[in-house]
Amino acid sequence: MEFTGIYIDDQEQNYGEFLNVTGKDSVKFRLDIRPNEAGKLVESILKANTDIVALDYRLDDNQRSFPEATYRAGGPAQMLREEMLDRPDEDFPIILISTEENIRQLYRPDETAHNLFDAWYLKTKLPDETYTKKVGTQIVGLIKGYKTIGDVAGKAQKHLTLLNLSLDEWNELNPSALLISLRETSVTHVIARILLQNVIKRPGLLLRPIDAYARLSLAPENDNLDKAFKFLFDAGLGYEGAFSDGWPRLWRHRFEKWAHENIGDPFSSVPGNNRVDFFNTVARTEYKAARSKWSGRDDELFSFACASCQAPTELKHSVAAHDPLVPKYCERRRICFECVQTDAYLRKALLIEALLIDGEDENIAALVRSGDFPKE
Amino acid sequence: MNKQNDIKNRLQKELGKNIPDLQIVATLTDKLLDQKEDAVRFSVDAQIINRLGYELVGKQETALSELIKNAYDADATSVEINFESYNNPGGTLTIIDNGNGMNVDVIKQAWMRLSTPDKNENPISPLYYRSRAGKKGIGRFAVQRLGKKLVLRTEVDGEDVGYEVVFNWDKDFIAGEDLTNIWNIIRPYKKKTSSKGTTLSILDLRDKWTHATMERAWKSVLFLQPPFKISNTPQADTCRSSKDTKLDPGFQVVINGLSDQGRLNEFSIQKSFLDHAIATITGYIDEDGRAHFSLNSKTLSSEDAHTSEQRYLVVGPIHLEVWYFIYSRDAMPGTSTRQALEMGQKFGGVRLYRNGFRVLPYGERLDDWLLLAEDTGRRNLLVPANNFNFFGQVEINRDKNPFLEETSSREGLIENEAFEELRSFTRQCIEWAAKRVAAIRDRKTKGTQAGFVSVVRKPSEVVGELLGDIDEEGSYGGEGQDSTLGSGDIRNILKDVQASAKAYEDYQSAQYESMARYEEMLRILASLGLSIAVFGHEITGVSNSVNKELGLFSRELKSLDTKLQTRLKARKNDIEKAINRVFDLGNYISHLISYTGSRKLETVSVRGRMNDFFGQFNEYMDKLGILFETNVTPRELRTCKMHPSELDSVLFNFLTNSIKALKRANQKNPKVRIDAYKDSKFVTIRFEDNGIGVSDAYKDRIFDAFFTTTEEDFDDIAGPGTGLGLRIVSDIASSYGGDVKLVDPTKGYRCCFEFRILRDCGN
Repeated sequence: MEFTGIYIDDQEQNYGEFLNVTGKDSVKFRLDIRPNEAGKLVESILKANTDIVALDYRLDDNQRSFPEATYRAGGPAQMLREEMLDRPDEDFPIILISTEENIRQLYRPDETAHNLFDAWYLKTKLPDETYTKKVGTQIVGLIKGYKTIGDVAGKAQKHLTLLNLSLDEWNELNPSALLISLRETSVTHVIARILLQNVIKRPGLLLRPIDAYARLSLAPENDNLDKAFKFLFDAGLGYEGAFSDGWPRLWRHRFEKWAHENIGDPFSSVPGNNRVDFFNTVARTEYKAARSKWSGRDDELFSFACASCQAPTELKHSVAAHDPLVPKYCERRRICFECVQTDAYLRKALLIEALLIDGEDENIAALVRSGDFPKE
Repeated sequence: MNKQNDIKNRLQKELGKNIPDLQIVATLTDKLLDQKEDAVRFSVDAQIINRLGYELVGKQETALSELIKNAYDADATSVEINFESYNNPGGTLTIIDNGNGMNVDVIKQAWMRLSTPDKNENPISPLYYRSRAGKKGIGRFAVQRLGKKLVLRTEVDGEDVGYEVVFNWDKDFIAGEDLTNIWNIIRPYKKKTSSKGTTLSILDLRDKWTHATMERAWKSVLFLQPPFKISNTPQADTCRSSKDTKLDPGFQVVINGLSDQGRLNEFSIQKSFLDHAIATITGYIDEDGRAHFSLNSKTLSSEDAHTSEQRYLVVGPIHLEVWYFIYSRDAMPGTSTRQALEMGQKFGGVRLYRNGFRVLPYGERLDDWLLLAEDTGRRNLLVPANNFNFFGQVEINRDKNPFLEETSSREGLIENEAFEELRSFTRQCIEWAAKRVAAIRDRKTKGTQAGFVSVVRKPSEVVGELLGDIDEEGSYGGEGQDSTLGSGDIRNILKDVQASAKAYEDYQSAQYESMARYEEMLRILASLGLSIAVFGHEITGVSNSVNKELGLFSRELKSLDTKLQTRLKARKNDIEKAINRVFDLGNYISHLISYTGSRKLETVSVRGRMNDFFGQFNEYMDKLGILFETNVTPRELRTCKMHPSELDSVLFNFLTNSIKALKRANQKNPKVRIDAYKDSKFVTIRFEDNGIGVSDAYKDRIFDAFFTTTEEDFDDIAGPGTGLGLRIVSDIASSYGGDVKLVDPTKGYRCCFEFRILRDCGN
C-alpha cells in the first residue's frame, strides 16, 4: 500500500527524506509543510489527510524564517490529538524526530508529554541505514496499526481483532486489566498508546526477540539471531495483531507451550546450555549458549533479558527494577548483577527511560556492589 | 694592758698543765691576739654556717646537687641517696659515695676550712683525673640547708680506721659564738682496709620531700652529669703517661626513696636522659675506607642506614657513637627542654678519644671542630645541629690511625689529610643523621631545598611552648637556640615569638600565593572547559549535519548505475573515515559533559568505568594499531565518593600521554595496559605503555602545572600538550586521599604511572 506522511522541521527539512519507505508498503513524506502559527500548522496537516506526522522537537529554533513558530513539538501534537478525539477512523500516528538531548528534555520534565507521541526516533541516527530501515518498518507498522484500530472502533470483541487472537486463547490468557482499559476508550491514539506501551514494547503477553533469545539462552554474540526468531514465528508463535508490522513479537504463552514440548518440561528447569542444544536440534541451527555475566556459567536458568544490558539473565543473579505502574499482564523489568556492580544501569538511565533499582532489592544491590553477595 | 696580762697568765697556766686543754689554749690565744693595738683582723661568727647553708642555698634540690658534685670531685663512681621518713620534716637523708674519702688532715684542711682553695689548686681529681666541678669551697654547707644535724663518716682506701664527725648545726653553731671556738670531735673507728668513701647522714631534715620536690631533685641530679656513662673517657692528655691512671668507669647517681605507699622510686641518669635523645647515630669507616652511617630513633619509630659515596682512604678505621637531642617539647616529651638545653650546653659536643683517652679540645664547649655552630649560625644548615645537640664520641686508635698525630703542645691533632678525613667523616655522619631526622619530622634541611613545604607552627603554639619553658625565675630555652639566662630573657622570648609569627606570616603569604596561582590555573581550565564544551556541541552539530548529508547522498546513489555507484561509495567512505575521528572526539566530549553536569559525589565502580573507557577508545586504539588491555581486581572494586567524570579525566589524560609517547617512540608493537587493583585502603590504577618513557630530566617536573614537552605535537584525540594533564591527575589523586607517581614499569613496558585514591570501604 502507499501511504503519505508529513515531516515538520524548522531547519533541516531534508531529514524527512530518511523517513520515506519504499517497497510493498511505501510511505512518502511531504516536506513542504513548514512551521507556522500553531493553529495554521495543524490546519495544514489536517487538510493534507496524512497517514502519519513526524515532528522535529525544536520548532522554535529558526525564528528568522518562521517567526510565528513559538512552540515545540508538544504544542501541535496536543492540538492534533484533540482534533482526533471523536474521529477514530481518521486518527493517525504522530512520531517525534529529534536529538537525544532534546528528547530527554521533553520526557524528563513532563512525564505525560510522551503520551502524545507514538514513538520517538533519534535524528542523528537517521543517516544510519540499519536504523532507518527499522524506523521505516515501524512507521509502516504504526500506520497500519492505527488503521486496524480505526477499523474496529465501536465494534464488539474489538480486542480479539486488535490482537488477532481467538477467544479461546484470550480466555486462556485472560488479561482482564487490558480488556478493561481497551473497553474504556474508543479514541484510536489512546488505544494505540495502550497497545504500544503495555503489549508491544514490554514483555508480558508478548515477547520481544531479545526476550525469546534470553529464554532460549542464546548468546547475544551469535550471528543471525533473527533466524531463530523467524523459526519460532513460523512455528506459529508469532503475533500478528495491531502494530505487528513494525514490531515483530511472539506470543509468550505460545512460546512457553512450544518450549515445554520441544525443549523440556518444565522448560524453566532446563539449564541454558541444554536449551540451546535442544533448540539447535529442532531448528537445525548452531547457536552458542549464553554465559551468565555474573557466574560465567552456561548452565544457568536464564529467564529474561536484563533491562540494562539485554543479555540473558538468571533470576537469582538479578534485582527488580523500579517499575511501579506495571500492569499485571506485563513482566516486571529486572537488572542483572553485573550491571548493578558496574553501575551500568545508571548510565542507562541517562537515556530516555530512567532505570532504577526497586527499593525492596536495594539491600541485595548493596551486597552486590560491595562484593559481599554470597558466592555459590 | 691588765687584760692582756691576765690572758697571758691564763694561757701560761693552761700550757703548764701536763695535758693542756687545746680548746682553752686556742680561745685564749685568739683573745690575746685581739689585744693587739696597732692592727685589726676579721673574726667569724658561728652563724656564718647558717648563712652559707640555709640562707645561701635556696632550694633543697640545689643543696643535694652540691653534695653530689663533691662526690664526683672525690672520684666516686657511684652515689646512693636514701631518704627515710621524708614525707614530713624530721626525716633522714643519707648520701653514700665510694670516693677517695678523707683522712684527718684532709678533714681539717679541706672539710673544716671555709672557702678552701683545695679544688682550685687541684682542679683535676687524683684518681680519674676528673675536672672537678666545685671551686668555691663552700658547697658542703648544703648539708646544713638540708638538716639540723650531720654525721660525717669517711674512709680512705688502705687505712684501718675511718673517721666520724658529728655536726649539730642548730645547737652549736649559734649567733654570738666565734666559729673557731666551736669544736667537733673526730671519732676514729675501725674499718676494712679496702673500704673507702664518705657517708653523709643528714638528720632531722628541715623540710619534707614531696613528690614534686623529689622530681625536681631528680632533674637536678639528671643534669648534673653528662648523660651517658663515660666508659672510656676523661683523661687529660697531660695525664696520659701516668702509670696510675685508671679509666674512669663513670659516675652513677641513684636516688632510692621509699614513699608512704611503700613504692620504690629508682632513678638512673643514663636511662632517663638518654631515652630522651631523638635518635642514636652510629658510624664507622671500614677497612676499605667506606663510611657507613646508621640512625635509630625510637621516638620517630624509624631506622635508616646509608653508605657514603665518599671514600676515606687515609684516616683508617674509625667508630662513632652519638646521641642526638632536639630541645623542643615535641621531640623531648616528659622533660624540661630548658634543663635539657642547659645540659646540652654544658656537656654537649662530639668528643674524641684515642685508645680510650680524651683528646682535647674536641667536643669542649667552645670548640667547633665540626663547624656545626658556624653552619647552623649562618643557616647553611637549618636542622638543629649545633654542638649542644649532640652527645657522643669518636674513637680512634694509635695503631689503626697512625696518621692522626698529636701536636707537641698536646692540644689536639695535627690538621693533616687524615685529620680532615676524620672531621669530614664525623660531620657527614651526623649531618646525614640530622637531616634524616628532619626529613622524618618534616623540617627543612637546607636553605636551598626545592619544593619543600614547611610545617609551620601557629604562633599561639610557639607562645604556649615558650610559656611552658619559662620557669619561675623567668629563664627559658628552646630548640636549637642559645638560652641566655637572666635579664635578656624577655627580649629573647619576644624574638622567638616574632620569628615564629614572621614564619607563619611568610607561610600564609606563600599559601595565598600558591592558591592564587592555583586559582589562575583553574580559571584557565574553566575557560578551556567552556571552550571545549562549545567545541563539543558544535562538533556534534556538524557531525549530525555531515552524517545526514552523507546519508542522503547514499540514498541518492541507489538511483545511479552500478559503476558510478561503486566509485562514489568509495569516495564517500574516504570522507567518512577522515571526519569520523574528529566526531569520535566530539562525541567523547559530549559524553563527558553530560556526566560533568552532575556535582553529586558517588562511589564509582572501577570496572564499570574502565569498561566504558575501554569501549569508548578501543576502536580508536585499534585504528592506531595499539594493543589496549585492561584488568580490574577484584571485580567489585569501587572508589571512595568522587565525581565520576574525574576518573574519566584521569584515564583520558594518561591515555593521551601514552598515545603521544608511543608515536614518539615509533613503537612497532605499541601497547597500553591499565591494571586496577585493591591496595590496602586504596584503589591503585597502574597505567603502562611501551612508548618513549619519561626522561630523567623531566621526572621531577611532570606534575608541575603547564609543564609540557609536546607543544608542537598533535593528535586527533591526544591533542597538543597543555602541561595541565598530569597536574590535574595529581590534584584529583590528592583530593581523594591518594597520590600519583611515576614508578618502575613491568617487563615489556617503558613507562608506568601509578594513581591511587581511597577506595570505598563501605563506610
